[in-house]
Amino acid sequence: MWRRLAALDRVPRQTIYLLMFLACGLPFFFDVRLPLYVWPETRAVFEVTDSTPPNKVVLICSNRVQGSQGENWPQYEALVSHLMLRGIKFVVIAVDSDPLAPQFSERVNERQAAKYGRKYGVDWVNLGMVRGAPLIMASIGRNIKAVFPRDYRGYSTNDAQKLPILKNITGAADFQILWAIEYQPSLDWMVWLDPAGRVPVAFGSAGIVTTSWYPYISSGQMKGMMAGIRGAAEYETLVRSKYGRAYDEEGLRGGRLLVPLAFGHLVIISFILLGNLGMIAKRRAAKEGRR
Amino acid sequence: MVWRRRFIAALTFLAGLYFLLEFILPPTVPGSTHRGVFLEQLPTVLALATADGERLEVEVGPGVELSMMVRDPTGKLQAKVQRTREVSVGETLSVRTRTFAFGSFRNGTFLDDKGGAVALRPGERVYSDDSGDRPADPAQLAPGTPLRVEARGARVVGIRWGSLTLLDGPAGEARSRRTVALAPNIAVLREKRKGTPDEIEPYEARVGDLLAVGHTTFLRDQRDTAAQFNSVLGTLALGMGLLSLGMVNGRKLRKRGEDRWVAVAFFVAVVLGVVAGVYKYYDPNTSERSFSDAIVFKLIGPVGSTIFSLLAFYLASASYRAFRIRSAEAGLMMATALIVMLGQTPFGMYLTGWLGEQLKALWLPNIAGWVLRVPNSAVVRGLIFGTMLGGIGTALRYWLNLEKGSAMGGGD
Repeated sequence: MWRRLAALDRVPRQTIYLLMFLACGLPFFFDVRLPLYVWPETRAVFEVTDSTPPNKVVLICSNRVQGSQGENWPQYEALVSHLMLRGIKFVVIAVDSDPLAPQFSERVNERQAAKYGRKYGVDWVNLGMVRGAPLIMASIGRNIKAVFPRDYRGYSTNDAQKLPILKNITGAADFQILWAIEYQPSLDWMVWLDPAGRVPVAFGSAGIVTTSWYPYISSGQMKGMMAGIRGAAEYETLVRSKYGRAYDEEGLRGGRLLVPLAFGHLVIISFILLGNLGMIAKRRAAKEGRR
Repeated sequence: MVWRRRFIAALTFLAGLYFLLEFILPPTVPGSTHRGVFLEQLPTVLALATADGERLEVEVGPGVELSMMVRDPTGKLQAKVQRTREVSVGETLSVRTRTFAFGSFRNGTFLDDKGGAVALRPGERVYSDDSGDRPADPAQLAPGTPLRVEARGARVVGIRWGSLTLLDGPAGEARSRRTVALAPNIAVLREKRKGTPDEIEPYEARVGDLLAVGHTTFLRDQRDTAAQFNSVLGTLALGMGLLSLGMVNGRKLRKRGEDRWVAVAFFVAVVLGVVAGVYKYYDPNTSERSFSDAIVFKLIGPVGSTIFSLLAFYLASASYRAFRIRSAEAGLMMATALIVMLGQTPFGMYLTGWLGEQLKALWLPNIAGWVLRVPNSAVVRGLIFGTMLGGIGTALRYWLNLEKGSAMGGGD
């Protein structure tokens, strides 16, 4: 028996790849529902974002591009759909990112705006990308219009007719929360944007890097986060549970991608266990062979 | 090249020195800064020669905004708000003296929304957000429209600097009252129990505020310039990267080696990227925008995602091969990893949710959360301290020109 089990020690990688492919691919063709536990880190940032007063805006630094869109896209779309649903005004920027980042953001903004009937310049503005972190983060906190004299579409940020959203917005005191969404957001946001620490900071990052944020959450420097696809699915759940049918979930990805992710994890866990079983079996088989 | 190395070393040292001084020096000159509790003030008054040739005196206070017209990076004129301490005689400013909401216009006089007459002094005009460079036309204003009274293009011909009176000793003693005269570049800082003090305009001080008043060290004033310099350098680096890639690929093309097709692909990609980048500013329903969207969302997006998704396959294969329990520590690590992984997926709830609310501490997501918030946080903090100390050491090596690598103009 041990000799047969020892074969598990050397599973061909093609088999692992195939099972991984099936685990991640098949759930797209079936409607699978799994129970979801909402982590406190997601709930905390949802509540701060949801309670944005009319005189403040949500600042989103979206550096998400093609590489990390598997996780950052659902996060960004979950956040923007919530803001559009509630009519919360938001400003999108990109700092030290791939130059394509503003275009990726704007695609989601336009889609969600069409759903909820929101208008560019009134409900949201995309200011494009700037380089020079971390110093530029401090400048954004002091005067965002000085850092971005023009928006992504070429309008002057001082033009109150085209961009009324920015009329009374100057710096950190006007931001309800900063959302930094990218594969691994920069910790510099916590230090530089508002040294007085008045602006809560939230990250939407790849699941694999979230372990690094917990010390900052427990110290209070970070309000919370969306951890990978799970965080996006939890955020969607929170919006749905609060606003019910008004929340149009067409095209949202968090809940949909969570299932393939869960099955993918299951494959990895299974192979780790099988590999160890194979290793033990191989040792036993060798011991029996010596006898 | 020695001169290049020296130039980089000098530039690095100066940049580092600025940030070090900006970090350690207080915002106002130590020794000549007065601290105390704010009691009262004498406001600053600007004497202006307006564009109409009239003389106008403006008391700087709430509602007054001083701005200077400067050109933005695209060459258009923009109003840049000036602090009172930055204003000097001879400068031309736009001065907003007050604001009001439009009520009506009768007999050549504006009335605000409460019916009060808005008396304009010589040289003052009324502007709205929509009126641009021209004064607002009362016939086109709706009641409630916010309006501004401004003197545009006014030259500063005199400044009567005011003063602040502070209490810096026992309240009952007359000598505890100190009157500090305001002057050019005298900064007023409101101190806080926590964090860095905020610079305020003198008229923003409230009785009871703890203020520090002194001559600015100028370092804080240059923070935005330093940030812009940093930003420009970062953007230049993008261009240099493209230039370098162009040179390398150009050389490949000239040599006509086997890899020349890679170079051709590079130049095609650059051209496509530039065209897509220019076309992305077009309206959504134009063919130019469709072309840009096709390149970005139907080519770059899927290719990038596909390459990144390969990680899942490598991760599965690598964890299968490497994650073997060969010691007690490895066993502990694997148990932790399994808990955290399962806790992060819906299966964690599926496996332990049946325990019910009474035993929810034993739900896998809660155990995983504890592992991440407590032991993991402790380990990450230790790592951060270590890397930060290493970072400070490396920064000092660069700053003091002890680093001899190619980044500092040395050899490879």
